Amino acid sequence: MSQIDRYAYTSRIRHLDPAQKTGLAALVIILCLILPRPAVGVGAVLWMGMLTVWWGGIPLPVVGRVLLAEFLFLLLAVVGVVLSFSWEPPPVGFWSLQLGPLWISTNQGSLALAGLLVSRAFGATAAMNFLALTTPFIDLVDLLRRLRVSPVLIDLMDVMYRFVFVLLDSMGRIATAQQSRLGYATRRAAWRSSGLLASRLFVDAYQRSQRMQTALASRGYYGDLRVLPLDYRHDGRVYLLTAAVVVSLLLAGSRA
Amino acid sequence: MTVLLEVRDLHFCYPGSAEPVLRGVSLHLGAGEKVALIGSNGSGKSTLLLHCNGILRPDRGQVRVAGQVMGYEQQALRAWRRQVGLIFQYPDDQLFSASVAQDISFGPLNLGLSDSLARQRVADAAALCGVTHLLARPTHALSGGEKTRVALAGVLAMEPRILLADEALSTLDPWMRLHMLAIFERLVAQGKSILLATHDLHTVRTWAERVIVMRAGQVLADAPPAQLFSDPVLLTRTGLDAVVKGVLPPDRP
Ligand SMILES: Nc1ncnc2c1ncn2[C@@H]1O[C@H](COP(=O)(O)OP(=O)(O)O)[C@@H](O)[C@H]1O
Ligand SMILES: [Mg+2]
Repeated sequence: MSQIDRYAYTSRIRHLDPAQKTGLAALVIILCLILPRPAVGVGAVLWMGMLTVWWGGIPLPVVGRVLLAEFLFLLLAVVGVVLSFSWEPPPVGFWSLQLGPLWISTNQGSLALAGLLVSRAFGATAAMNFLALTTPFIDLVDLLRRLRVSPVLIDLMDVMYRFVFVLLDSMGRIATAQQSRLGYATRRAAWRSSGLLASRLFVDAYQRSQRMQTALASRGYYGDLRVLPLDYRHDGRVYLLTAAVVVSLLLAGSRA
Repeated sequence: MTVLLEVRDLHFCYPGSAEPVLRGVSLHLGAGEKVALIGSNGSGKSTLLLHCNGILRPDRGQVRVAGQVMGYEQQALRAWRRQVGLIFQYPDDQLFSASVAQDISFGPLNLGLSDSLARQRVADAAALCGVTHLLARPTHALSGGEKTRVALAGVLAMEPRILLADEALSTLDPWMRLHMLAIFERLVAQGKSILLATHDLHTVRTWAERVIVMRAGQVLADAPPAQLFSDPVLLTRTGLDAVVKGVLPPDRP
């Protein structure tokens, strides 16, 4: 999470209104899901990949690596759709491979279905990547706040996100202190140290939350974490860009 | 000199603990005054500061701000915290929001200011603390010194007349400490008062106009540093003689 978030902070379009970025990504995801043609997914991946790199300013190798990992994952996921396994020879029209008594087979229909599934999911994933790599978590939380999602939920997400890093920090320090006294030198010691670390971390989190409560009270907290909305650049050209993406995907989805 | 903050005969015992932590503490803070609060660990400095901000309620005694006895209802507490700001030793305890700008905006909005006024307060406080360039950053990506200054900005955005700082400089490097003291100097020039709990005797001697020494929940001395550090009776009474000489006397552990 923190890796991806770090890229998001360096993105060229970090300060673009998250509503615009989310709108674009959401439209692409919806088109991928409703238009039943692989070309739509492929088009979405190309668009989103390009926009992440050239518009968002995220290095190509980073985007490439993330997309490749997701693609391999999706391929693995559709193996079950493509291949069927049986002890009997498959009917005509199937391509097959015999391994001892086992027949592994596939046909054009299941390949096409798998292609559609993969391209759709890949397109939607690329749109999510675009959003995640150009929009930090706090901007997304801020967007939810503007959309009037329940304040309790928003406050919780904000403070949780903050606390994750504070606790990671504590955890690192406790673990270092344990290591310096040979806490992980043997397997037994490691088990014991991990247990102590966990309980220590729990106490630490509790005490921190007490101190944070005090600090919040001293700034006038009465059960509502009110903060200003963040400042964003609103860019009219993004609508043109979004329209171009949508039209091209619709074209890719409609050609017979 | 007008007295801004006055504490009269405070007594306090944490619920469930046998020993009282404050045993009749009285002190005052004038407009534009720079006062240091010193005393060994556990002498009750933090507890005292929490009383000055209305977070803890004394068993006996009262706190006055600008001559008025402070109450503990929600409205009264809001008025209190508008006038008295408190910063803590560890900024990580104070910064709750993932966004620097949003964290600083929290106090002003709690005062009931409009968004545009609050925005102005955030900008002013950030400029005063030299953190304008950090406003768009996530809180977790700041260094320790940056976090301290952001935490200070979060309190100063409420524009308190009195700033209480609980060992807020103790984890900073000497340069960052100078930086913080320079910010304090600007506040004092605006007529604000500062009460700084610290263990750093160098800061006490060079910065403070007055020193309050606490031990075991009582005020043992209240004097300008020049007087405190040159008066053998005061030094012995407060136990500072050992610290000044750098030797523990044989009768004390
Ligand atoms: N939340 C608490 N509950 C019970 N006792 C506390 C609490 N906080 C502090 N104390 C006790 O009160 C005494 C004074 O603490 P504190 O005000 O933090 O002193 P100082 O800031 O001068 O080091 C200490 O003995 C400490 O153990
Ligand atoms: Mg303390």
